[in-house]
Amino acid sequence: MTLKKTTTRLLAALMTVIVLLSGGIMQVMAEDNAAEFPPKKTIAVIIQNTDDAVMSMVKKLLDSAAEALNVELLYKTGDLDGGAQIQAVENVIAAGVDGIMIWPLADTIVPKIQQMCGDAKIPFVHMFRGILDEDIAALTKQNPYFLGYTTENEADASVKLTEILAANGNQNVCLVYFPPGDSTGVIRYNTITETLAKEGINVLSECVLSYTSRPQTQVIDATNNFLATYPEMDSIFLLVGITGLLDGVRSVVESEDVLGKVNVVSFDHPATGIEEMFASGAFIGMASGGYVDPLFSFIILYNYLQGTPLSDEPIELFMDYVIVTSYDEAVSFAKYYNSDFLVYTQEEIKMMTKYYNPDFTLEDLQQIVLDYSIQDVISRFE
Amino acid sequence: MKQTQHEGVANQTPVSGFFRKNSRYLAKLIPFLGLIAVFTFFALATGGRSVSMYNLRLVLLQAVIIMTGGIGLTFVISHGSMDLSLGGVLSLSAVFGALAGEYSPALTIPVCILTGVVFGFLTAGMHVLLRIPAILISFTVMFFGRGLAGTIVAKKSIRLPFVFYSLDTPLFYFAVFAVLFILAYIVFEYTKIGKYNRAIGSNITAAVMSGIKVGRYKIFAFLISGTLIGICGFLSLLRTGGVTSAASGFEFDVMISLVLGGISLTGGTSVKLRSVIIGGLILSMMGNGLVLLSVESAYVQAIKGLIFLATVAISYQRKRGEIIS
Repeated sequence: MTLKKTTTRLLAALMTVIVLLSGGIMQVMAEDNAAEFPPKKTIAVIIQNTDDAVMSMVKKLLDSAAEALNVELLYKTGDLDGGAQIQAVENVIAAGVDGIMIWPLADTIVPKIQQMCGDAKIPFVHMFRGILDEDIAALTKQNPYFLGYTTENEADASVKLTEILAANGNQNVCLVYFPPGDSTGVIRYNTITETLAKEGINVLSECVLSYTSRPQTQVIDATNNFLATYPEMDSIFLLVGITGLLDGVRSVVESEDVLGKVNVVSFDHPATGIEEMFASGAFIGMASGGYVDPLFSFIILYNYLQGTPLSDEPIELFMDYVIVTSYDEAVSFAKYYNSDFLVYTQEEIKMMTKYYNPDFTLEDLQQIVLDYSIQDVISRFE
Repeated sequence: MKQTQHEGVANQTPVSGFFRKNSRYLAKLIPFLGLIAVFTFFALATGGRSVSMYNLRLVLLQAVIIMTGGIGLTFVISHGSMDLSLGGVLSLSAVFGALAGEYSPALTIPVCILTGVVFGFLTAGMHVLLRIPAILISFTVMFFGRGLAGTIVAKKSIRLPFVFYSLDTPLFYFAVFAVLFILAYIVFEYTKIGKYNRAIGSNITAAVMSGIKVGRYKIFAFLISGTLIGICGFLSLLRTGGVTSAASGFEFDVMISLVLGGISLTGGTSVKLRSVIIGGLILSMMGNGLVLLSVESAYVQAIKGLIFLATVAISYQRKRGEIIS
């Protein structure tokens, strides 16, 4: 018998043994799990990252909720295109999670996600995103395993930030954003450009950032280019505010000696250093504090997993951003929205579940979301 | 004292003689052993979850687009070139296909394929006519494709027509890949296109002296690659339901999978299409298995990189300057 034939047969036999052996291990594990009570829930969190300033606070808040409610969280990060996100959903379903929280990159991948979760009978919720496409929304809402979403009142915040620019007397703005393929991006972009036109503010240029190519560096280059090309520019609108973007703009504005002459408004910026930025006049408006959004989606999912769903229909939660417009507000924001502080305690989180609070209803959750503001946070902690 | 060849052979033990005699075969075995090792490791480490029917089907499904891209790249690599434009062309192909689908769904697939073919031809044409290394041209095409696709999707979300959703089943992906692989195998092993491309990769001077029209056969290879990337563009559209952003790192995933599958990046007669399947499965199993093990995503890329490095370190034939014979 040749070496080739012998090896092939040995490998085939080895693979058969492994499959059989693994099946046995799986059966033993299933028996072990059956002996445990109550079963620990495992929830997959599919999110762009958990390490920038805002997302690390999302993780911290979710970890705190998970600890309070005996949930294991499996974070799946770094999936920056639709195919990768779909693959992530497939893999976490295969990993045997009980539920999925996802921040979908775009509406277009939602039909596939709802199909996979429906087929696997795994409940799922969106965080940070609604569904803008009417056909996709209708399709997804028919799926009994789609429990709903939490998203921010993007249009309101977009109008408010644009009005801050107008009230400040700014006339010429440059826009910086990621490709707005998702509902949040589309609403922001459309509302802001419409409101800018309505307020008579000229859009000089737009810079579309790439997720995959160091956006912090891109924004520095873009700001330099804006200043070189458009000396009349008096403001920059950051439609996204991941870590480092505002710092990048600020460093260029400072080095080019136009601090206070070029004003910045931004979404989603973390608390670090914003007092100084407001004091210097570089920053005149911010919509942020949205990091609590995933907690509300988590609560929807957790109640369902405990067999006590808050509703038989998909739940749609719309929360307001915290709008910061002055140095004093920036000081308060920095106090409560830093990495050492969570705006909901574990006890408050427990009270959002029927397991610990049988009287808790969907209306109660909706009221909590409605009440959410910096004044609400201050009143609960002071 | 200088040892004669006769004495050297005489001093061999039966074991070393066995390895020496079968060294070429054993070298070919490394990728298979890698596949077995990855399969075994995850089967045991995940308590069998990785070898459930559901998960094995998933691993195959997740490998299909990478493997389809790998088939085309194998043709290009076989004559000693490298095509880095895969991700950029895939993105453009998906964008143009989806845009065409807004006018008529019947246009989606032809436009996807046509886009791939056009960019394959452009890359090959410039490489052959202007004598610029293909890696440089394809590098440029990669950025062009990503940039253009990114700019188009920056303003609108492009959805695949719903009429295609019924095709989105594992069976369809497997069937498409099986047909493509069989066709590619026939072309690669039994036609002049495959044979001449490998001959060019082995020794371009000898190929020219033998009367092989090197430029023509290189263009054929890029056209095949472009066609397959166009098909990848459609499969990607089908899988994601639309275009979200430019495909990131697709070309490197394909390249890594081929290296893991044992391909020689310098081309030549040692290039085998089986590398496509072995490498694609290894890469897919690793990505899937690490999630099953709840390894944090931040570490997954690092682990993949280390395994890639280890594969290259083990298989790199330093004397020949090639990666796996």
